[in-house]
Amino acid sequence: MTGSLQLAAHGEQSRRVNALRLYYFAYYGGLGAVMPLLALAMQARGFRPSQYAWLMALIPL
Amino acid sequence: MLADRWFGTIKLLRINTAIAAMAMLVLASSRSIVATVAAFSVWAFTSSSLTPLADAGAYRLLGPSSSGFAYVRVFGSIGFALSALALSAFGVDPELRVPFAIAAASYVGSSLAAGKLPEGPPPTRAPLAASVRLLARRADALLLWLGSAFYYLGHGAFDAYFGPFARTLPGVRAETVSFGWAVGVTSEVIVLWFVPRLLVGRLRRGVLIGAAAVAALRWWLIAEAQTPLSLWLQQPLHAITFGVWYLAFIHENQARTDDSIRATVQGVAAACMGLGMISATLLGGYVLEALGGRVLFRLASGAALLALTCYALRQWLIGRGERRSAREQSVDAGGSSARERGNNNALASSGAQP
Repeated sequence: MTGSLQLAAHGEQSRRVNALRLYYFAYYGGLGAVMPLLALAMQARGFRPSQYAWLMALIPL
Repeated sequence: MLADRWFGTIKLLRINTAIAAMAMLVLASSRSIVATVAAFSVWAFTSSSLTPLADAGAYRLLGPSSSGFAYVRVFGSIGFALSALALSAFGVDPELRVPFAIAAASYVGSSLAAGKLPEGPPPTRAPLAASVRLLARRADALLLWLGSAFYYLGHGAFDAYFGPFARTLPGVRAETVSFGWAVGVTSEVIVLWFVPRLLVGRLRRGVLIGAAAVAALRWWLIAEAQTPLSLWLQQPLHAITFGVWYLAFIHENQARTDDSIRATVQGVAAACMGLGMISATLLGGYVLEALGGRVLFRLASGAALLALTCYALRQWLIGRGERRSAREQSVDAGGSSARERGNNNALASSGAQP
């Protein structure tokens, strides 16, 4: 009985860790799509570096 | 603090990820200046909290072991590298509509995944924990945060302006910028598997200092790059300047923190990084426009040297504290053994057995 409870707890923990892995994978996957090219995208939309600097400065906020 | 005191870490993580997804969708579907500014602002405001919230949740789930965190966080680097590689292979439209749409879909996926994570202890609205105030009074914690603000003053210049600077070199297109990032983050993935071994024992103490030295070198190499090849050759150093540094920084913040203030401490750490990044981004835009990318990356190298100075000073302070407490312990141990000897002598002279 104790063994099966331990097994269930271990299974639950492993599902949570996998969810966390999936979270990181998906979130950083999205970031990898835009982050390297963000400044270039803003330039393509007509912003100068000193203008889009104010937008980029919002990222850490 | 919002997470620890009101919402709960995971709930706030899910809400912010969902809002960030909607903002990305607006960026993908509209190109007007007003919509771009509004959606970008919303995305920036929500996404800035995602990393510290996820990291705090991860430490709560995995415990204080840095190796457990590294082996989970590495999946983020894999996702980043795969996205950047895919875009460099398939090409991108200049306004990034497709990448923004991919990011929106990814954020929806991450919000769903966050729903499977356990919430931490119930949020408490008690006065700010005394341990946070204690932490803020500790010189080594303040030096860690100040050093990291300087560190990110340098790294922020890379994050924001590497693309525009790289495009000034002959033959570099948007896809090759993505490819450069993919090279850097792939090397980060490889190194992340080995980092946990660096973060134990005495070797851990030099990790932040070493990362700052490598960062100073890397930004200098970028500033001096004359060809795309010389620009890409330094990219594997990203493994150290971001991957190793980030894990060591998170570990140093979380190692001496209890569960009730994990998100708050992580928020303070992220705020220090953010301070450096905001300064880098704001100043960098003007420096890039007026003086060019080479000057910008030379200044970034100087900022990394300032970070190195703070980390070295912090390590010296910690070492001094440890030596002092070791001396006090040996004096205590010497005093108690002398007392024991004295007692034994007294007992012996009185003819009693100890």
